[in-house]
Amino acid sequence: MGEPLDLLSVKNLRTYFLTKPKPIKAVDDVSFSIRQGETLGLVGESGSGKTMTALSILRLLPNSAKIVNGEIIFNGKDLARVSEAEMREVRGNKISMIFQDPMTSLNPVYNVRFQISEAILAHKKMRRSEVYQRVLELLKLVGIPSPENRLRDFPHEFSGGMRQRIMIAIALACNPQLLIADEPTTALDVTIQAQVLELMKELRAKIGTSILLITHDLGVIAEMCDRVAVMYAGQIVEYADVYSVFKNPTHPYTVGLLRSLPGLNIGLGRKLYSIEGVVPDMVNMPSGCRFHPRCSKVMDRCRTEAPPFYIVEPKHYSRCFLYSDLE
Amino acid sequence: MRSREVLVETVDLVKHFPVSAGLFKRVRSGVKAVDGVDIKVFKGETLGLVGESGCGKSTLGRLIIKLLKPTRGCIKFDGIDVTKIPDKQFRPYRRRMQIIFQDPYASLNPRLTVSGILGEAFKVHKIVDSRQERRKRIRELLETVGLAAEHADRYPHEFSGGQRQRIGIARALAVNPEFIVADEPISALDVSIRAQILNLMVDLQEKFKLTYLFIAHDLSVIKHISDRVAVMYLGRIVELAEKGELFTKPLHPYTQALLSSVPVPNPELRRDRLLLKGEVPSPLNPPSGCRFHPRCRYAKDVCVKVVPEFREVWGGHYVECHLAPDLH
Repeated sequence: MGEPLDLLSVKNLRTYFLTKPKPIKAVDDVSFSIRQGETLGLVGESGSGKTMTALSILRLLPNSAKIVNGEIIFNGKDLARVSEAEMREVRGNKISMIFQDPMTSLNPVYNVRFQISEAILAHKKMRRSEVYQRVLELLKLVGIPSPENRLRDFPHEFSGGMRQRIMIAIALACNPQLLIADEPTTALDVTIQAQVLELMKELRAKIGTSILLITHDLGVIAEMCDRVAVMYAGQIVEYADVYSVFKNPTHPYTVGLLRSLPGLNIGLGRKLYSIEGVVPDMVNMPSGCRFHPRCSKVMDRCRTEAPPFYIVEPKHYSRCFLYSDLE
Repeated sequence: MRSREVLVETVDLVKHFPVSAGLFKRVRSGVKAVDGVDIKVFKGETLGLVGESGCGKSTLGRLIIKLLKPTRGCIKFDGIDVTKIPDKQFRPYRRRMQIIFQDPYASLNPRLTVSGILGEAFKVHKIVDSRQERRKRIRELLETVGLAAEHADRYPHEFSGGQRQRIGIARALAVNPEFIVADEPISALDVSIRAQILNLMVDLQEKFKLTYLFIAHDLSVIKHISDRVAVMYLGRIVELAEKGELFTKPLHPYTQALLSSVPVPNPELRRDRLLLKGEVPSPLNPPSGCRFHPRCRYAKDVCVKVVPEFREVWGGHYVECHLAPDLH
């Protein structure tokens, strides 16, 4: 699936929790790529492996988890294999991350000036006055009103939306080539979410950063992304541009997810389409296709064989046997 | 199914939470969580209550079923003012009004089995006497909400989020209520599970002729399940109308902005949004006049000075705005 302009390309990534007796396959054979200036959406439910994928890219995995296979090619280098020192050069500098909860990811005992300066000084040699100017510039960029007066404020003195803006300022401190945003608006109210999404769009246009946007909200995906990867139980099940995914979803999970959204299926009365069953437990993964116990189109082979990616249309991939005869 | 018969009504309902400060914990001020709410819930309908966090929607829900004591105002249930009834005599009313909580992880006692949780409701209200009868009822209840009879002896931690929410619903149904306050019942659940629970709630409403006050921050859910919708902002209802009317002809600038803020799951409908300036002001000290005026793009002098009246613009469409209905 590689393209010449890929900024990041993840190939056959497997990240496991090395538990006994058998490992938990949190990310299982995930491949995708992000081009320069592109926004890729990674959508899935809790436990589908989206955050673990992001943490693998930055090698910020918890101790019990390990990348056991695969490549993460970024600027020609395989991040899965570079030394820790080289990795530190990438983190926060070339690739940075925004987390879901701005309250727990900012340090409560330092003011925002310190926290933003810290991100700059970790990678750049600058004079104090230059750093100060840059901090002001960043706060202005993310739309904090009268930033001069707020430099000495602590995170608790900001509202949720403002805190998320500060997180974004820290993430942008070194002009990263790739921004990983993990559920950046989930903790925010709709009107504030709209403000933050608008800000991210503006910044994308201004700076040209590529974005890996992780969310469970299909509305946010539709609003922001160029391409989408749908994750289910540690695997990408569908991968295509945003218009194809929403207009012509192919994997039964994607189809079900879209049909089960309230407000979309007019004419069906008060009943929503629903995907039966529960999200599988990572420890006891179903055999064959991981979605088969919940699938409305399940066939015999789905129970025993794991489907590979099939090309449904050019650049539209689906991990489902329904498309096996297309090839 | 829906009638014009009022089941629940609030009259100028107010709840202020005192904030104490200083050495002797003197009450300095109050958080005006609910500040003068008049709503009616008709028998058999679903009234959706939507608003952002901190607007007072959960407090209102709890006030209505008397889990909280109002500072002022009254609540009428089936025509009777229940505000002043002492707790003991209130019990027969309590049986008729129940609540489903948001977080199915926090609202079930981890030390009780499912039959223990459901059995408590029977004991408190002295509905089922014999043990066998109780077991039978519990089995029926579990089947009603889509669980199996053998789940009765398990503990909450053995269930997934969606299943726990089914237990929460079963607990509410145990006493055959007429009115259920559903406080964000699906927002803690996974996307693919939400539709299951919404469908279950619709089924139960038809089966048991329930009346719902459905509280949510997610407009698409509200749009799906409600018959009428009330929009809340800083402790007050700012707009109330039939669902179709509210979503096509929102009159209050806040409702308009709220509707415009929701990301639509269709990439072909990307659009310019009506972005709201600033954030929700503190309910400790709400703005003068119309509470929405600092964020309102149409605000005029009168909005700063005069508190607008919650009035009926036309049939069943209420709005609290000086400038409506000319803004649509």
